[in-house]
Amino acid sequence: MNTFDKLQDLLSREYSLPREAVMPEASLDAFGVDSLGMMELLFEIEKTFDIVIPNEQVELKTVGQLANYIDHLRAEPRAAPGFAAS
Amino acid sequence: MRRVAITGMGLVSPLGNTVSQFFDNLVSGVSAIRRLQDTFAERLLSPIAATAEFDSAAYFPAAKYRMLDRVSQFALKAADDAIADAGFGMNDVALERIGVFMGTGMGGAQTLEHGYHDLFIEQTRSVKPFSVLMAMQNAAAAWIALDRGFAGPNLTYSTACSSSAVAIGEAWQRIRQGEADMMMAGGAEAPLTLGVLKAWESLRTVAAVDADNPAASCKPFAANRSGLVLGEGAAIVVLEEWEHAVARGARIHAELLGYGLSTDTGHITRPSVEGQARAMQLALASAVVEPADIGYINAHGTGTAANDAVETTAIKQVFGSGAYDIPVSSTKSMHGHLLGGAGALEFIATILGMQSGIAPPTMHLQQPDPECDLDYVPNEARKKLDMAMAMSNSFSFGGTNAVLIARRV
Repeated sequence: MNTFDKLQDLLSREYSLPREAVMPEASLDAFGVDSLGMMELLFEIEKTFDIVIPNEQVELKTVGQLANYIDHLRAEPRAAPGFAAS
Repeated sequence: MRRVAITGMGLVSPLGNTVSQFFDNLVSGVSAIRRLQDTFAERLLSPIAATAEFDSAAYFPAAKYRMLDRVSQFALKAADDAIADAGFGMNDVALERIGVFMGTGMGGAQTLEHGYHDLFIEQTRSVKPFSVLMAMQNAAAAWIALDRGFAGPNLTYSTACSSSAVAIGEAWQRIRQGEADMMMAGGAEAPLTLGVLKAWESLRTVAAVDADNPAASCKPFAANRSGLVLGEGAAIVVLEEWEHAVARGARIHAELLGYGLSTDTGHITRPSVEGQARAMQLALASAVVEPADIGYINAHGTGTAANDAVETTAIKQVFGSGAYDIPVSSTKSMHGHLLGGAGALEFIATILGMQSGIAPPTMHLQQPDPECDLDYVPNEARKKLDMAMAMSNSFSFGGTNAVLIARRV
């Protein structure tokens, strides 16, 4: 399953949205995910994609931007602090 | 001093989520106490509680739901209903003159427990980012204000089992003194997690399961009482300055007439006759009424050996020989002990009883205790009573005793 499909699953499940509403151009704010809500969403994304999201300022306004950001992080995995590299 | 009307009531309770369903069940003597179905139930010595049936996931938009601990879910639903019942439009009122005072003993206990589970058991790298906002004690009060734009004073009282009675009493003071025109006041609790249930169990205050009928496990004032049973839910009243309520043509349920507050200083859990009696006397004095004016007392009546005997003695100390003529009942025998939500829920029961002239029963009182010799309205509601005024008692671990008096209109 590609990143977008997985993200679509996650958003539709966790935020009770019809899958067809979760399109690349859809605004996260419209789903009730404001800047605070984004913290919670990133937490779910870390679990779902088994990645670590660094503390950096990234502007993520749409589902598509978020999917691209996840792809970017998966391409350049960083060691999580406190976790030994296997 | 300005007078205070009660113009709205809302609740989520083990006996139903509307005021009328709650009261119908109380009058019918229905107990909501039952065996817990949770997977952790087998780990409890007394796997019983009074759970509230409320489909919170369906009630809130999903993004908001994720930010609310169960305790805030209950509180917001109760607030919505209380506001609808009070029947005011947001244009009728000055929002900065409306405050919110809530009580809770344990706040977002479930959020803390989930966080600890993830962190210590699952060894997760982090906890839910909303943890702080969900677990903080003032979350429920804050959300009510946020939802409606109530910009007056917003406070959360935590005095264990008297928290919401304190919240109502303190809100009454604010209106009386002119600092607010309307107050949302009440409390909420969601304590039915393994950790919290275990903590109460360890204190040896939880009732043993009645083998014949688990629903009858809480037996206030009975010789065979063995403790309290925890419950969950929320109850909120809308308090309103009398003339303000009259001017907008509001239906007034009752007048909040008096409030007494005292503190036991002898022991962290053991109640004192003097402290409880003083709270009742102070409430009578603030209402400027005589003991003989009180037609019904909704007792704190937890079902513990200590409380029920001490409360009985305290009532006798305040009411003298007249104590035997007053119906006194503990509705905790049916809805369980809502801790920080108890005072508000029982205050609503008190108002409804007074309005309808019905004293709800103390259920499961088959074996009288010689030490508890008042008229507890055993096992069957009493109807066609004339109650011009009624009292609701709330006492607590930590010793904060709060008593409210309402007058029929």
